Amino acid sequence: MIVELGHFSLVLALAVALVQMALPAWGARRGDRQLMAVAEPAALVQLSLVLFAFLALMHAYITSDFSVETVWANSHTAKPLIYKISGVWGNHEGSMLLWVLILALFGAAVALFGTNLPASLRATVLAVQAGIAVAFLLFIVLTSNPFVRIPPQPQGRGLNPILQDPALAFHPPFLYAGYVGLSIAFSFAVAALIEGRIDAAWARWVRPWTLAAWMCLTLGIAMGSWWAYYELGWGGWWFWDPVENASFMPWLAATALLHSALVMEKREALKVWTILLAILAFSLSLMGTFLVRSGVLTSVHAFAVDPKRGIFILTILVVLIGGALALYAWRAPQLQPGGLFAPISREGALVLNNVLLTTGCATVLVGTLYPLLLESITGAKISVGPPYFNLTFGLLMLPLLAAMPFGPYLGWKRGDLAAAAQRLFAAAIAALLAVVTTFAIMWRGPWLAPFGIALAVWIIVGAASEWATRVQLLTGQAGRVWHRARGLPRSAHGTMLAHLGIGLTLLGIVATSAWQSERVVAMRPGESTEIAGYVLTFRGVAPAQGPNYQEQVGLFAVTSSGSPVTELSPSKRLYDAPRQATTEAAIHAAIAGDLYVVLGDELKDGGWVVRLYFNPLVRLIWIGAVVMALGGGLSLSDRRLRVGAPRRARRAIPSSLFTE
Amino acid sequence: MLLWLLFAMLTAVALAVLLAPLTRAPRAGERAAVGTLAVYRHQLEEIDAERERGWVSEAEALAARAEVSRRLLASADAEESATKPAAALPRPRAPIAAAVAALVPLLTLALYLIHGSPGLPSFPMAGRLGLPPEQANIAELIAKVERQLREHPEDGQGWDVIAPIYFRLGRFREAADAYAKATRLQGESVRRLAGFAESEVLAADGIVSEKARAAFERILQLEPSRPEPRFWLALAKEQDGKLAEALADYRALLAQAPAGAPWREAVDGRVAELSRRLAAPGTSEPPPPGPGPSAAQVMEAEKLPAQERARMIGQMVDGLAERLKRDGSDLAGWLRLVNAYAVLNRKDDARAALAQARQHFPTDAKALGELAALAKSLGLDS
Repeated sequence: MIVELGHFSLVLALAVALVQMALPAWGARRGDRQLMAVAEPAALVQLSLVLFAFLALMHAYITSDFSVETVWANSHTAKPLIYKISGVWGNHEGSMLLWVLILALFGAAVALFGTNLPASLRATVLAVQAGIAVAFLLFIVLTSNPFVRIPPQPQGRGLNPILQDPALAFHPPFLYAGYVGLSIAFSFAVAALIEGRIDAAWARWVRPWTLAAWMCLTLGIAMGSWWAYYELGWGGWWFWDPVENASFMPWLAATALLHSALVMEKREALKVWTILLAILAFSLSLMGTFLVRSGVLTSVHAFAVDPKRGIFILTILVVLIGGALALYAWRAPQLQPGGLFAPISREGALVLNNVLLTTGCATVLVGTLYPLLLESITGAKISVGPPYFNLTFGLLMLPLLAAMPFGPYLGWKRGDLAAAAQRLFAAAIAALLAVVTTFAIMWRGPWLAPFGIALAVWIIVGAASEWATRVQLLTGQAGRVWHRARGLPRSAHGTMLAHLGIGLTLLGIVATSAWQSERVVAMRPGESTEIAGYVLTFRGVAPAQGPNYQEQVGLFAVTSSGSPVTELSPSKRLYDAPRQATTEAAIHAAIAGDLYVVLGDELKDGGWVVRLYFNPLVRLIWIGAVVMALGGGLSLSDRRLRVGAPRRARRAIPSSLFTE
Repeated sequence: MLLWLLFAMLTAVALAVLLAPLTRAPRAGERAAVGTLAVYRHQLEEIDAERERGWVSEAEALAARAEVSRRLLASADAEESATKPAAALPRPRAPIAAAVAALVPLLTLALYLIHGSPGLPSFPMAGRLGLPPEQANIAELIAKVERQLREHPEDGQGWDVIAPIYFRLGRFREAADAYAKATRLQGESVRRLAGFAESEVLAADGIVSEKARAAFERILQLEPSRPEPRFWLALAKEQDGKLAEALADYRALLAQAPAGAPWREAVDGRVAELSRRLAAPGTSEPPPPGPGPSAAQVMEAEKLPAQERARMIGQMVDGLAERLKRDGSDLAGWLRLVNAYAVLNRKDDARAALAQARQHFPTDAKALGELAALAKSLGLDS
């Protein structure tokens, strides 16, 4: 009965979303406050109903109700409780329900916390948000209904073992919160176009939502990468897989949006561009959903390979994105241009950031879609791999990263590049030292790597020194530093941390790509092997029984220069249902890097294939992402409103001024 | 009935909250651009704070203040011109509220009934396992034993009991596993080895795997007179492409067969097939795995007395048919079922099963192709 109540509740949410879409928008057109006021209770009712439906489905999973088709197809009584819960969204239907739940959550948040918005803007935003909900609820109810019942089955089919991992509990919710959070920026953009008015205040209102979405997306992507790293068993952390790209593109667009919204908020410039970015960022999120769900791509993530669903999502995509872009083409030229600024200025730096980020995003888009288009037109199968992305995207990011430390030093409206360069002297020295030291230690190459390390150090020290200048860490009185740091707006700490995080991630990427060592050896119990200064002694393999799998666990004793370090036990698991094997790598994390051991196949002579990796500094990749997200969180907690202090042009205004 | 009552209550509460603003008078005195003005006022305050901290010069602060003030004025202007006498026009709310109150339940009901099953009760695992044995069906009993085995995986007797049940239900992969565990815990016996090996073969759709072959060889060591391991080992050779050796083994098996042995026919079939293929090398494809299960089922049954054999085959096939009736998405199962009916000479059932299978894969070209190929090879389509 709970299942049917959940189903009914979900359908009722769809009807409520329709009302939320129609009445407030109509009210906003007519200036009718009563109709506009429907938006808030509607958003809250919609959240309650979707939440109830979600909990009902979760209840069915926890109690193993195999009269529900999705539960039967994706669960098993022997599965541990945590995977019964996270298994709710470990499949197509459930994950779409989670998507809509997060959408409703964001909508309700706008209704609750958006009290400072003009009434008609808020009503229109909530109506657009409801429109997105209608599209996805229809999709769920008609083509991907998680509440479809079947004659009761004695036992379920079980969850894909690769997904039976604690990471499933966090990776999709964060990623979806990121995707869906961008829908708020989209709704604000569409609402602004409908209202025909857009100003600095608009950017102020959009900013926290974009920031929250960006944080979640950063954490979601990092978690996915970390998951792939330890679960897939070959030590890679990013594969330029189309599904990964599908989450990376919205991140790039959201990063660009964050920066351009900053310009708009402080100087009212870049308005039209910011609106377009807001539309594009969410469009890329939708496309990510489409790519993953339509079965165009086959990968771990492609739960549902069903062309009917693909066509439905394609329709949603065309209506939402096409509609928004058409509205943009119609209304954008009527918007008033904003403030002027010189090319060398904070605004100019942020424009450079936007140009490079969006171009980078475009190269990823081309690399992801080109093989698909080519296959559908000519039937030729090509694969666009890491070399393409490293060459195009990587090269584009170099100037962006090199220029990054300059940005915060430049003044608004008109900046002084020489003064900024002077202040970055310390960072330049540190980068130079990094090149020399790295060459001295790693003189065997690869020869480009020291420059990568130097770039990372340049960013880290650059970000830190800007912050140090602000709090007068070295020049001021020691006792006042803490006071000044407290007085500094939180967003300034946030900027520093986010930029520093990028530097840390880059350091990890460069180090692990350049100096990863890998060995594949056949070992018999008692034998030893050596990698990156560690000596591993293979003790043997023992069988073990898990809750829903059997495994063979290898035992390795690890020593370093004679003294014991740790014991590692990588394993090979065979799950009962579905019957599928997984490898569980064993990882020893040290400061210098990760020792990563994978147990391979058994050989006829009693030996085992063992794969060993040493990934130097690899953890910095994810630590950097967490630092970035922390920076985002600090900025988000800053209630202060920023205003750029434009410096009056002393001479006549130069001829090369940017406007929009 | 209770369910419908809850549906009605849920709808009523949702509608009451949703339509509440339409029954209240709009709050007066609220101005459209209050929020915008507040933002700019905050920005002005912030400039003063920055000036006090000494982060911006007096000139910069002045310029910024001028810029924000301009925005503030523009926004206030826009508000003046946009303000409409909203409360001055009383509009009829009742029609809108009535329309929403009527359309929402109707739409919800219509969409709910597409996939909803209001009559179907929940079916949680806990309730099922609590039933007394005579009410629980066989599948639930299995689930119960499985649960016990999960808690006590060293219970060899349990594995011994459940292995043949799995086999009869056509869950060959699990049967092989259970036989293997029983062998490990209870010791090796011909029955367990044979059960393991045959389950292994059937789970692999008739392919004799390396593990199965090792088990058959072990059976022959324990009991050299048994014919069926010899048959399977010959089949393994055939599948490895060693046709001549396989043929010799089949012939040896036939030569030693007692006159009335019921399995002669199956071996004769293999001999004829192999002789034909050896006579015309290269013209004929290796046999599809299809014949495997049929031959396997025949062989499995050969060991038993005729009556018992018929009962068992019938049980196996019916079990499979029953399973496919509940879940038709298993293509391999359908192929096996059609094949089994054909082997049992129940052509009508085979045709019916074929038609049902096609209904389950209306759009799947690959599945339809496989079904058509099977129908052709069994001569069912003509």
